[in-house]
Amino acid sequence: MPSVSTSTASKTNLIKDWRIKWVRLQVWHYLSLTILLLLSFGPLILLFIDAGKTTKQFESHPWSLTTPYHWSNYWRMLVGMRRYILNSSIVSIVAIPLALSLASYSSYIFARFKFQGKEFLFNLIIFLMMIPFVLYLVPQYLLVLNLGLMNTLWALIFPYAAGGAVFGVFLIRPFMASLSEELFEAARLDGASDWQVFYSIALPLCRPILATLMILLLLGQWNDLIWPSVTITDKDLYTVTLGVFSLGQQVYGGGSGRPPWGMMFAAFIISSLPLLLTFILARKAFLKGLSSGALKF
Amino acid sequence: MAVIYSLTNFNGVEGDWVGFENFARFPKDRMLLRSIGNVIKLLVGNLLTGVVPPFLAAQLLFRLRSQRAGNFFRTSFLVPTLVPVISVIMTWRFIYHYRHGLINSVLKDIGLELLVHDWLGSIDTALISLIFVGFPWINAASMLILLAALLDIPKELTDAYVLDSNSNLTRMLKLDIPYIVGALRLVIVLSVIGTLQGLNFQLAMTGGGPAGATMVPAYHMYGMAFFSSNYGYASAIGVTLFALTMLLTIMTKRYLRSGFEYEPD
Repeated sequence: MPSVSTSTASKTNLIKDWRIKWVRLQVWHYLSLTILLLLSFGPLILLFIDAGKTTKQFESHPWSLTTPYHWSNYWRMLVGMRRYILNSSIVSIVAIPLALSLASYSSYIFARFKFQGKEFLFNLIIFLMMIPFVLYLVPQYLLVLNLGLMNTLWALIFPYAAGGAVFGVFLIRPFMASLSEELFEAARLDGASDWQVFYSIALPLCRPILATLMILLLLGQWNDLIWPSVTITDKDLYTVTLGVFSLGQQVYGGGSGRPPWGMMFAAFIISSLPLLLTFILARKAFLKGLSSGALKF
Repeated sequence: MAVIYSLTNFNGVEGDWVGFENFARFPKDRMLLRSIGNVIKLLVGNLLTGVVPPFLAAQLLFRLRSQRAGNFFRTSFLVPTLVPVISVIMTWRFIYHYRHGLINSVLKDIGLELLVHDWLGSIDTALISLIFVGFPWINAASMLILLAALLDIPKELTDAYVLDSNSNLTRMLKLDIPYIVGALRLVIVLSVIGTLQGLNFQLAMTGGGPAGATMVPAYHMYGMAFFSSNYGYASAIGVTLFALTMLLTIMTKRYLRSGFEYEPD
């Protein structure tokens, strides 16, 4: 019947139209995302291009690729910045385990035991965390000053560890609380002490969230410019951020002679390497940690 | 303790109790007034660049059919976040540089020399240049938060909507946005808090800008404390900033509450 055939034909056309539209939409999505990705990487590509230049090459061609590409810039900057990288690493290597252990143990206690004033204490910690650093910048500075820790790496380590511990409790406690109690009961029945229950059972189960915490703290500490800028004045104790900053000041501040543009850009790239390395190594743990929390993807 | 300091005129060595005199100085401090104006503009600008692009990017990622492509893009967008913030700031300082910067060089090369500008050094362009940093403004963390929220929308609702209306735009506006209000709120709050407290830009890029054009209350506080040793006044600024941040956070939480919940039948 004519009406049937027409309707079938029009139905097929409808599906075809819809298919074409769907494919076009997907192509549009891919294109936009790729463009956005390229734009996001733009400054990085720029850095890479400019890192291999001498000052003369830079001044004549600020943004296009020039030959010869001076790989030696990277090497020289690596040597020059090695002190800074060492300092930042020392601070993080000491501060982060400190923060992690404090946070995990405190979270364990908060999550699994009942004692008077528990909720109040926990809310207090949350409140402390919400105080922006603008408020405790000055008091913390004066505290460090009075403790005689100014201009030492300890001035960085202690506040980082303390802040990290507080933030850590916030992250870890919900995780700890969600662990099944039966596991611990079983362990206790077998004669495990509290410490053993914590160390051998609860802690390993928290690995994803601990990894997440570690990465967040690492990122925060390595990126920090403000706090080191007020506590460290000794050039040998500069962190990576201060090092990059002082290098930049030399170039932008106009000083005498020809500013080392190419090497400055190489220094920027070198400064990203430690974090990049850590991210590659910890990527799996990090993504797993994110997906076990409230953020799922 | 900061509250206590704000009531004194401590200069690091000695101090007397001066009550609210520090706070009373606020209206007379012209740099502070300028910084307030600037920070309001920055709040608006950073809010736009901090919420809309990540949202759009999250949408694009969300609609991708291939799981592998999604993973690829997701990880790739994270890579630029690994560059330390100071390096990013310094790179943008280069881009804006008057003599050798990227923007001006490109303009000269294509013959638009008239548009060459001292982006960071002129009063009218300095603040906007600060907002512009980070183009295209896709903060991976914000985008991932929004993406996660999008993935939480029950599929039945999305399917029902696709059947009802053919337009992707209406679907995005009417369905997605109300449902992810919680995540949107988080991103907005983060942006507001970050802007109010941010002084990295001023420290590393402009030092407060040409004649205070980029001065921000947080940096003013920093200057007061560490250049002028006026810890009391600095604490006063800090306390006020804190109160303001708390206020804005509470207000945002109140006004952007999810107005309704979908009931899955």
